[in-house]
Amino acid sequence: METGKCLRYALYLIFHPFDGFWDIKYEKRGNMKAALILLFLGVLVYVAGRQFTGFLFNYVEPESLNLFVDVGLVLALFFLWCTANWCLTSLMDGKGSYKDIMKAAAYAMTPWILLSGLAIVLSGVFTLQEGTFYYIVQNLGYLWSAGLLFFGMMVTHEYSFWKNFVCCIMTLMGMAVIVFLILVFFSVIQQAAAFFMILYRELSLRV
Amino acid sequence: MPKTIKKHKKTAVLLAAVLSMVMLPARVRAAVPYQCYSYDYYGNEKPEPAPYTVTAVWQGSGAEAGGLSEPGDLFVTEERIYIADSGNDRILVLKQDFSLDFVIDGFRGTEEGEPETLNHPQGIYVTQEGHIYVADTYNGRILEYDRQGRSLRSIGRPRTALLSGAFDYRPMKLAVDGAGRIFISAYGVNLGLIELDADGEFRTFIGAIDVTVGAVEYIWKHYLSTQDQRDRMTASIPTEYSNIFMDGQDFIYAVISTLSEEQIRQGADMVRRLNPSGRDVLRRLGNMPVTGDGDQEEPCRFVDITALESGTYFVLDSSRGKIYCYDYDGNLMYVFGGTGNRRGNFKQPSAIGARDGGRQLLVLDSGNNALYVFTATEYGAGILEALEAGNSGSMEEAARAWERVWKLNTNNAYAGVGIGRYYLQNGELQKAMEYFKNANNRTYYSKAYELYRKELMQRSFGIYVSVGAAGILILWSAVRIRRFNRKVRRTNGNWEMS
Repeated sequence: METGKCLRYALYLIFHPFDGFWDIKYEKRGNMKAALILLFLGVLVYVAGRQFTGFLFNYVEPESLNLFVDVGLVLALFFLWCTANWCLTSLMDGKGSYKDIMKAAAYAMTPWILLSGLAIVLSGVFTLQEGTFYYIVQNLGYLWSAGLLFFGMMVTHEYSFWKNFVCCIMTLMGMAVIVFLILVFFSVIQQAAAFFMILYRELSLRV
Repeated sequence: MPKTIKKHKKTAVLLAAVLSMVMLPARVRAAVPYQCYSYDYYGNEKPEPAPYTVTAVWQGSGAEAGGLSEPGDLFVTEERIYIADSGNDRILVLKQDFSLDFVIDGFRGTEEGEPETLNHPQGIYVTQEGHIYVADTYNGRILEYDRQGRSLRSIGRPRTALLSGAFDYRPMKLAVDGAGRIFISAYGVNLGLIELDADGEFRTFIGAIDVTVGAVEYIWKHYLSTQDQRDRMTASIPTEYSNIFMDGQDFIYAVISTLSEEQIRQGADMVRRLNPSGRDVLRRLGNMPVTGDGDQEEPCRFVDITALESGTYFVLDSSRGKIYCYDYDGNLMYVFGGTGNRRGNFKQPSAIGARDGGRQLLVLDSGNNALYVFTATEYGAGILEALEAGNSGSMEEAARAWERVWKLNTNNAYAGVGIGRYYLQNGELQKAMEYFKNANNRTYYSKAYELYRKELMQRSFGIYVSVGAAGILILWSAVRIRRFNRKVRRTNGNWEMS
């Protein structure tokens, strides 16, 4: 029941972002469980969008669909954002903890979840000529969520507008840096593993 | 008794086996020494049944006239085949069955005296009346002969200030329209095709190959590169068309092979269809640009093109020895052919021609000095027929032909669209939608779906309205009941409290 209330609070939050995010953090109007459920719904809606969007608006090659990749993409983006943001804000004296960031980010996804869900339904109704409406709904979801994410971070960290703006841009760059580091790390590991494999083979053949 | 039955059983089985072997239809397999494929909606290569098979390779008429040497151009009519046998400085005229009709190896300007020889003629064109026009390349002139190969006139260098005096005039390919105007593609001319009037006087240049320069390239060229680099870059400016073909409407199909890789990547056109005033009117409505295999490392080098009555055209690529078939809208129908050493493979194809409505394609190879004859298979002929019917506006006939194609290859998206359009026209919307969906054609699917939705709404509008109304009613009463309950609870609570 508690979680149900917290979930319902997301509907209030999307229209009152400043109050909403503040109350999530300080008034315990939202909790982690609800945030995780929202994240799960986000994954669900993304996967559903890839698979069940009507033929006219679905340009995904059916053979290229991969459930794990789709799920992983959403989760990866979410946690990349949270991590990069947390790394930065702990240096730029942000007031939010990692949990706060996660909660704010998950709640900010709400309009995207709702409108993407709506867009999936609409994609089965509209023709190509009416496609504009479909794209409006979808893009509205993206923009609204992006705006919420921005103000969510601002409220959570108690930043000024411009400081938050800079922080968000740097978060995006931080995400890229993290991805780069991960790739480099794996490439190094791979090369090291290959090296030791060769070394082992060489030794076992000679000795 | 049981023994005999057993015996009979054995014979029966044997008989059945023999019968089945005899009666099984012989599997006809078109073994071709090259790959046939096309691209699906997502740009993946997918195999196709062979649209053409090699039925003959002609390598010269033996003792009569000897073999070919670096033949440069080909012109095919229903009665004759004309070959510009460039290396032997002559024109071969063959009959329909490839037997030699006559040879043109000189030009007789006056009645008396020795005829002048040809020098590496590389282009040939034959008009409706059968007049033969030859681009006598290294002599820098255009020659005209009549049906029987008698010399008529010689047209020399065009008189214009636009070609400087030092310029070496080398006419390479040519075409003549119904009004007798001559269009010439000459080496090193970057102003387009030279247009001469019926009297052989220079008129203008048409269809210059303009190349749009991308922003990055522009900055690189004008601000960043050194003089040395700039000098080398000028070599990449596209010059002349590598070959031209005049279709039945006096529109010129032209191909360019001197584009650089960047230019192609930036979307420069490798194939054009010029209207009589020189504007490019080629339709490019396909999923991919008309550039052959788009994403190959080495771009295609289109050396010749031939078009059919239906607007279908075949483009010959010399870099990989492939033939690309496009329909009038610029959809890539299929690709076939290849270089190699097997019979039917090319070494350096130089020209292509079609006869019998495209049922036979003739390809000249200047590396192997041979003329290849490709004959359409059931599959290839089906596609041609469908495109012809579609072009003449008979959708039913087209659908019937596409149906045959579809039976041979259910992956053929164009067949799916062709059949779907027929159903769409006849109001069988669900069937049409299914075909369009399979063919990944969203435009037509949308059209069919729009009609289908309308039909659906008209048929069951009442149901939708009643369901909607009932839903709203239920929702509304649920809200009211809940509000009432809450009120009751609150008053009860208040009552208990007090």
